[in-house]
Amino acid sequence: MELGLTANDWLLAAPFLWLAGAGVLVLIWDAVRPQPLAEGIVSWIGLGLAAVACLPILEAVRTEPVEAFSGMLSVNVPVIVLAILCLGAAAFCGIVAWRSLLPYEGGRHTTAFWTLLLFSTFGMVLTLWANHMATLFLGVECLSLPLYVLVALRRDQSDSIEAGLKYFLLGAFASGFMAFGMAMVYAATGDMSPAAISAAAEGSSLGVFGVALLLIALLFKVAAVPFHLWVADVYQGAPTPVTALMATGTKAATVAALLRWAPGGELMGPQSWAMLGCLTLLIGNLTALNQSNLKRMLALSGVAHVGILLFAFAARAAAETAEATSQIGDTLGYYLVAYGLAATAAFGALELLERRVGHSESASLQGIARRQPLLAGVLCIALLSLAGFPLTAGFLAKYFVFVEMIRHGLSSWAVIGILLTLFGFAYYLKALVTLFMQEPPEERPSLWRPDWVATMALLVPTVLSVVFGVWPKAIQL
Amino acid sequence: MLATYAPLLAWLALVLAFVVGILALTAWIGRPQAATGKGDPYECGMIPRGDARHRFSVHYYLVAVLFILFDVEALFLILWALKARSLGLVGLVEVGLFLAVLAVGWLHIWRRGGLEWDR
Amino acid sequence: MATALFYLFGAGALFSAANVVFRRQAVPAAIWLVTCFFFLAGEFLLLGFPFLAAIQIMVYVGAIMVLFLFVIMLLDLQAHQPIQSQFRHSIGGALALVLVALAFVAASGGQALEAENQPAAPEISALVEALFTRYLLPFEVTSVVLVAAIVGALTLGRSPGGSDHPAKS
Repeated sequence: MELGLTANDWLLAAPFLWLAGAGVLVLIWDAVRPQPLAEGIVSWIGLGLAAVACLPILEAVRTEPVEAFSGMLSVNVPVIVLAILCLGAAAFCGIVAWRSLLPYEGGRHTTAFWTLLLFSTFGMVLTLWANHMATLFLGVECLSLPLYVLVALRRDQSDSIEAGLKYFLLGAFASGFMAFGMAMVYAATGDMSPAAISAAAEGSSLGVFGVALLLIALLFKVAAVPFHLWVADVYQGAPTPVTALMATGTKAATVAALLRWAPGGELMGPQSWAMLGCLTLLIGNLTALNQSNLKRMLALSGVAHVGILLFAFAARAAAETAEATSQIGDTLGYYLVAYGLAATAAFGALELLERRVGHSESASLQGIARRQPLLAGVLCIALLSLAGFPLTAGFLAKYFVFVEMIRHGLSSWAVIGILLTLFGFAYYLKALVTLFMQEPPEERPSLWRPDWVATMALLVPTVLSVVFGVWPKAIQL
Repeated sequence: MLATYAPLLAWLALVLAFVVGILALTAWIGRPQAATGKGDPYECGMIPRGDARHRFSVHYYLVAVLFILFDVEALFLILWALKARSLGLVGLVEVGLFLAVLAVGWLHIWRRGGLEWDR
Repeated sequence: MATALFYLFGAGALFSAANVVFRRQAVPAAIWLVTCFFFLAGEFLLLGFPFLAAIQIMVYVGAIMVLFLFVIMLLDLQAHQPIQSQFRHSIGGALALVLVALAFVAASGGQALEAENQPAAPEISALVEALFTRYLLPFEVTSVVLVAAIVGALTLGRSPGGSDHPAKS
């Protein structure tokens, strides 16, 4: 038998080889001679090499999408940019976790943390690139399975275990929906590529039902209303570095998968997508307004962001030319990068605050502006970008989505979306007011050691949020 | 279609007949007598005390999970073994990579004490 | 004959599944699940997938059910404490069932669900061929997922506290 791997196969397999290789190497290292620092360095090198391996692919797909492994994988420009975002989020998660999550229980979970982090990132990249139901399912599983464990890693905190259990039970349920839907779509069409989705959606009732099940599973993974109920509990209970990874990497990977695998046409027309987006935006904003816990608030603000992303799906369903469709793909990619950077910075800053005051209630922000001006600045820019304030990437991202909606004849929905976004400013401003204008009731004992590495790492997504906000071409989508 | 499984059905029928036959024979030949200790779980040895329904060690769960994972691995090995000759060296390399990754998982279990009972 | 058997096994699987849901004791429910798996294996045989039937019995009945029973043992369920179901939970379940049924009817437009694509059952050798050529990437990725599961199980399935690394202690 011939192996028959082409040059493209190797090109696209390279990031996976680096990620899996680093994960395996960490396990071997731990078995031979446990050294937390070495394991961390191996993981960061693995993530970095995987990102470097993405660059030649980026060059190769400039003109047209590249397929590999007889259609199992297919990549285009936005998907690769999002893969690099996921890798960056994983590296960031490791840096922030270094001083808080890893030393817990005598550092016995270090190896597990790095391995699971690498394998979860592996799953994210696979989900992004999957062009066949088998790879999609494996990608989503490989993404979620390590995350269930990472969420529950703080076994001394009942919140963390509760979050892990909730995420696992609901996630396993969604995986069941996904597998069942895939089986039905295959039964109806005999095809397992993304083309099967539209064929099944227009074909027999069996296919329609299968597409609906697959859609439910993906909407659960991206946390769209009405499948968003797990988000607040899981994001709150998870260790904050892991929450940052989930908000950035998982969201980017699953939204991109939804873009590739979502049905359009008669089954889910522009109006249905816009209605879903509007509902998600409204409920996300309304529930975020009432939260006193900052992690919960940011989780629900993430739901609201999914609402705007679903508006972009509506524009894509209305788009008629292939060029317009690909442009909306770029818009979605830009949005996910903008949201991911801001969410990473925000959750990272919250992690540093949480170490200082021991909780993530909004009172923890009091007096930070005076004592930790750098941290306050990072949090301020992150929150402004999440809100969509001009001169940040978050503003341009929202602007691009609404422009696309108006261009494709969804002006009334766009107006509703803009109004709801303005309404969402309320809770971001509330947090900013606490941050800059309130003083803590009494002076807290200063047991806190500044973590300069993590603080420097925080500056990267913050600066990028501003750079991409004033110079969007820098992202090269 | 169904004829293919006729031997299987015949085998099942034989098993069933054997079980029923043995039970019937014991009832017929044996002389049932009510004696003390007949109803005990063990007719000899220790007298069981307490209730069997207590909480068991979480280690049972770990063993079961690890068993499933390697059970799934064995499944893929069966598939490979069926056509190992025609898959040749390439097939060997492919399945070797698969096994190598899992072997590292096994190494992790071993070094982390997952194979030992009381830890 | 084959069709009759197919419906017989289907009815058996449904009956067992209903028992899994409605039994108040966890262990009998798990045993009913075994019955359900056996009926499903029978269905796979009738459809011409003996390998799938074998997997069904080997993995699901042989391994996953054992795990279920172990978990039930971990939970410390008492014989005199059957699983209680609350009235509002039953209402929610019934509502969900009605909704799914409605969606099913709406999607089917009242017609029977018919698979248009009915591939002939493949020879096992064709299956192996596909696994090691076209499905090579998913096959290798499976090993990564399995190792992730190993690491996860080992992380969560240990009692907290104490060092567990031989090289450290």
